Amino acid sequence: MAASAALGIAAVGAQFVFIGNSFFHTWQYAAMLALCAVFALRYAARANVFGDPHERPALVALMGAFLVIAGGLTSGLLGADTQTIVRSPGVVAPIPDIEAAAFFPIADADSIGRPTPILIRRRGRPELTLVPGQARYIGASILTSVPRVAAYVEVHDDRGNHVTITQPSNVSFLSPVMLFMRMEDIEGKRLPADSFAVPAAHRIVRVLYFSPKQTANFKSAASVSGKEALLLAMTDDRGAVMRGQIAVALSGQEVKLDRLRIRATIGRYPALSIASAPLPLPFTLGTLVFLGGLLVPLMIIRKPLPAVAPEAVK
Amino acid sequence: MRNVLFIAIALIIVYAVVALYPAARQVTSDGGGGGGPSRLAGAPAMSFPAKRLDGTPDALANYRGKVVVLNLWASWCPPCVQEMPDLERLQRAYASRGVVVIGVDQGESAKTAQNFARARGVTFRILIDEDQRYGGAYSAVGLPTTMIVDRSGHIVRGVDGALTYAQMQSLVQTALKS
Repeated sequence: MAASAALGIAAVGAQFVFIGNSFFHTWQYAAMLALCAVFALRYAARANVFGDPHERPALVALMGAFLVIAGGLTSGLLGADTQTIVRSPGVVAPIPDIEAAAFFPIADADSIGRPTPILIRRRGRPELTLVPGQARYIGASILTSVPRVAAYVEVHDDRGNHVTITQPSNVSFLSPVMLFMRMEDIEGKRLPADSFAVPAAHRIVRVLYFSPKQTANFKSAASVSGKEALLLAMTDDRGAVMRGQIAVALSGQEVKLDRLRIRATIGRYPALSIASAPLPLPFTLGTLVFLGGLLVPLMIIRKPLPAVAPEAVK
Repeated sequence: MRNVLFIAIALIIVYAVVALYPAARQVTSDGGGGGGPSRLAGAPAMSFPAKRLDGTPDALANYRGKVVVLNLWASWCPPCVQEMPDLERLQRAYASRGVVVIGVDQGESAKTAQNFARARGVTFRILIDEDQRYGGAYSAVGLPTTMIVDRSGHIVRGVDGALTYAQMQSLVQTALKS
């Protein structure tokens, strides 16, 4: 009984360790928890836990385990699938599931390299700050800030004037921050990809991101070897590739394509991950009750018997 | 002892399965493209530092207590250029009633905006937003984008695309009543 129940509790506890893993929303996971509960019940019935007053601690342990397993099943079966919300800097994203709004931080060339927090605001509740990598609980949801590759792009024309960039294929049309929502397969490598347009010059620039590990193998561009870099390829506004208008640039390095000077600062920008999880309080309570039910009888059994005085033997 | 061994093995199996389970089934949401600026109605209007044509620092927040017609534009955008005379007319007609028209140039240098304003006879306030913060934050899906902000600093309406003068008047009237 104890083994099945402990396994069920451990499986529920895994939801706190592997936050947001979609396995917790599968029927296989639900079936595993259900089987743990059934086996625990079966062994409990065999050991006469429900009828024998001496087995009350075991009954208490069983109830604790059931509380935890029920919580794990509920969050797995009924909790929403893990979603990662990617938004442009400065955008406020409503999150109806938890009756909150996420304020995505402003980003520019200076700040994109620094970890910036997402603010979570709820009516009548204190504001939450989500630092990258940190997890916060709101009810039965775990919120985490996940840093993603991003690049802040600045473009100047040949007279040195700053020009507008747009992202016609992305939701945030006017953001100068590339969030690399797409992946492209090039020569067996899966690379984060994005693009932006320079409407005043009727040009489109496709952008591919290379990690330091990927640039380490670059033979033709030794200067970027082992560093993060972007490949920038220019097309006209009908998508025709412009001969020779391609460059590899390091973060913050300016490159000239056609009549435009382009500088992209590579950094990280946070996305918000929302995963369902069991409520921490019932989980903790159930686990403690389970452990208490198991350990208390052991402690009682191992308690040494009182020493008998020699006179009393007469 | 057998129980402990069973729990340990089972634990390892459970955690290995979860750790190796592909995360590819997670949903990644980029906003879905729905709504654009229109979905911001009722929300507090976000304000970011910007500069006027003469270099003076300014921001939308400085206009609290007035009805603001915040127009996001750029000189390369033909509908924005077409809309300018009507915005100018609106500014002149409603200035006495506490309405301010502010054009926020998206991503261009002050020099470009200044040349444009001079050539087109634009006299309403122009702010330079080289970092395109207003455009990004107001979920602009194109240019021009116009936000009508009430006296309390809340968005009454966000509109994608050029407005006619009659539409501008109607939106301003609504904001003046709110």
